[in-house]
Amino acid sequence: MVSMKSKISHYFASMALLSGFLLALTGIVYALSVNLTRRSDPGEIAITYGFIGFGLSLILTGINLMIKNPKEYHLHIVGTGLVLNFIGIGAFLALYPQGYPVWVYPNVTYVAAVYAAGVCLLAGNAFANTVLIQIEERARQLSEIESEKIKSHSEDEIEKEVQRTLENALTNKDGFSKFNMALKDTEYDFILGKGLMESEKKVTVRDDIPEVENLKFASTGKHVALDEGLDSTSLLLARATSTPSRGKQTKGIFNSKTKFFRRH
Amino acid sequence: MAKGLDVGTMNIICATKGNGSISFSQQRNAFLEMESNDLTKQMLDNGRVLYTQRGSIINVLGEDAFKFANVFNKHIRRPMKQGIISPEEKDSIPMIKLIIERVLGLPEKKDELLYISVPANPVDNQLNVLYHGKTVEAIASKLGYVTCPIDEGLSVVYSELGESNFTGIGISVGAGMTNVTVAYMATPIVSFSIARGGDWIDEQVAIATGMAKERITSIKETDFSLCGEHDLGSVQGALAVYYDALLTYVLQHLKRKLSETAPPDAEFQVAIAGGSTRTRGFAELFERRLKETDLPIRISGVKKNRFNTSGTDSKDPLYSIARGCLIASLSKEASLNPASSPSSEAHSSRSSSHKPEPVVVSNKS
Repeated sequence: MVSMKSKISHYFASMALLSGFLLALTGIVYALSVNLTRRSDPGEIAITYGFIGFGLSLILTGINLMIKNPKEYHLHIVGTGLVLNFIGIGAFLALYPQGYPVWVYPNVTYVAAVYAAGVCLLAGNAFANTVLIQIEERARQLSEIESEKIKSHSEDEIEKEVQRTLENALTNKDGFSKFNMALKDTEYDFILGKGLMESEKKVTVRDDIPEVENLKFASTGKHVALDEGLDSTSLLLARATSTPSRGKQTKGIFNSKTKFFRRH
Repeated sequence: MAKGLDVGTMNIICATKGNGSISFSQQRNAFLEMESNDLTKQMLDNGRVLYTQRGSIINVLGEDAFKFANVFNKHIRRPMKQGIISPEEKDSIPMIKLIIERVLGLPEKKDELLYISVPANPVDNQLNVLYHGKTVEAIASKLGYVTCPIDEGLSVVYSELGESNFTGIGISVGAGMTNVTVAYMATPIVSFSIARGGDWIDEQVAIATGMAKERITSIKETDFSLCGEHDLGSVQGALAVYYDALLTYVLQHLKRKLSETAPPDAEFQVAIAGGSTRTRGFAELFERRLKETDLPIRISGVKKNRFNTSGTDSKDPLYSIARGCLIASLSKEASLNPASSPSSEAHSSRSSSHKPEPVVVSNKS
């Protein structure tokens, strides 16, 4: 839902833009009506460029205010740009009609620089914000596409796929031939020494080989666990549910009433 | 009960589960040819030396072959070379069959499960491991076992990286080969081998120093450490140089293989195993070289195995592969017969008869 503040902001921006266009148009129409040339009256030139200058400032301000979700210090920059433009135009209107020796270097340069700085601030801010918004929008779109792709495989499907791969890796004889070479019964063509008739010595070491259980767990995803707590709780629950009326028969006044009714 | 078998170039080791323990039976995969006479035979019989006799030739098997080779300055013969059955050795298959039969023994029940470690195909050699794997499987099948091959590097992951949910890099530096497997949640991602190992180090040092290879092997196993300083021109110095060269070579290949895949974003622990990693200071040198190699995965650390010369520790890197095979075997057996799984046995022994069945908890919740 669009807030009142946002509506006012949008209305204000539109008005500024429209006013800017009207002022600039007025300036152009005025210049045409007075047949403005460089030898025209300084007052006419000042009015013409005053209108156009104000109009351009308002157009840029309107564009800036129309930007949605602007960056930090946006309004500060717009305000500064607008103020610089007003100062520049004000100074132009004040100094230009006075002609020589007021409207000469360095005053002309100062006025032009102040106005140009204002225009640059407004135009640059609008451009930078627009580009940033475009980049963010594209990043958001890509992220949405990625998340759509991920959502297309459920967690269950991914887990099953991992499980299948692990099982295949452990059960298939990957890279090995399935051919079994059968050997003929052959006797040795040499005599075995006495030492070979005795059994082989063995080195026995303590080792519970916990890796067997871990490997089973890694390959099957199942772990056989002893849970005596769970077993005893289940047993208690089973006893409780199999004899539901025992408690009622032995307790309180209802028991006496039962006995009484039985007697009569 | 299921078993695990590590058929290595230097050692053949079988792991069997006992009651809260593992039994390892081990035999050197080597033999020495000697001239036979009555006195020699009597001496070997009295010393309980393992040997076979064919005519006037005696083949001394196992650890004693190395002892005799050092005493008589003779070259031992090896049924396997570079991780597979040696095509250059005519007696390789009968000898390896004899050693496997002795180490494995007969199955305790019908269709007993046996996981056998097989190397991955090497990346720096044209060797193919299929024939080797099938031959070893056939020998074990003939004894009555139901055999399953398992990648050697993966068996290291199973044995050593249970705490990190079987996610990590298992490296087995054996005598003939170095096997590497990168696994994620017990699933191999990258698996390869390098046709260089402890034997390659011995050969290079023997060439560099002009000593017999067997003597180099003996020095390497008894009087060598990668930690300290070495004398100029010493065998120990040459051994250190080639150990470092081997590690750099392995890590460069690992980096290249990882760059060809897209490993998951996880922390990988590194476990090193195999007889050639028993040298003191190996893990520290490996860790230094690993830090220098900029692998395209996150390494959480290097798991250092305790090494106990008394042979009373199943975490001895020599036993890691056989232990990993046993873990795979027990796990498979439990999945085939859930009732006979160790956890069920443990549970049933703890529970009295009136107690309910075990609760199966799934991780899918």
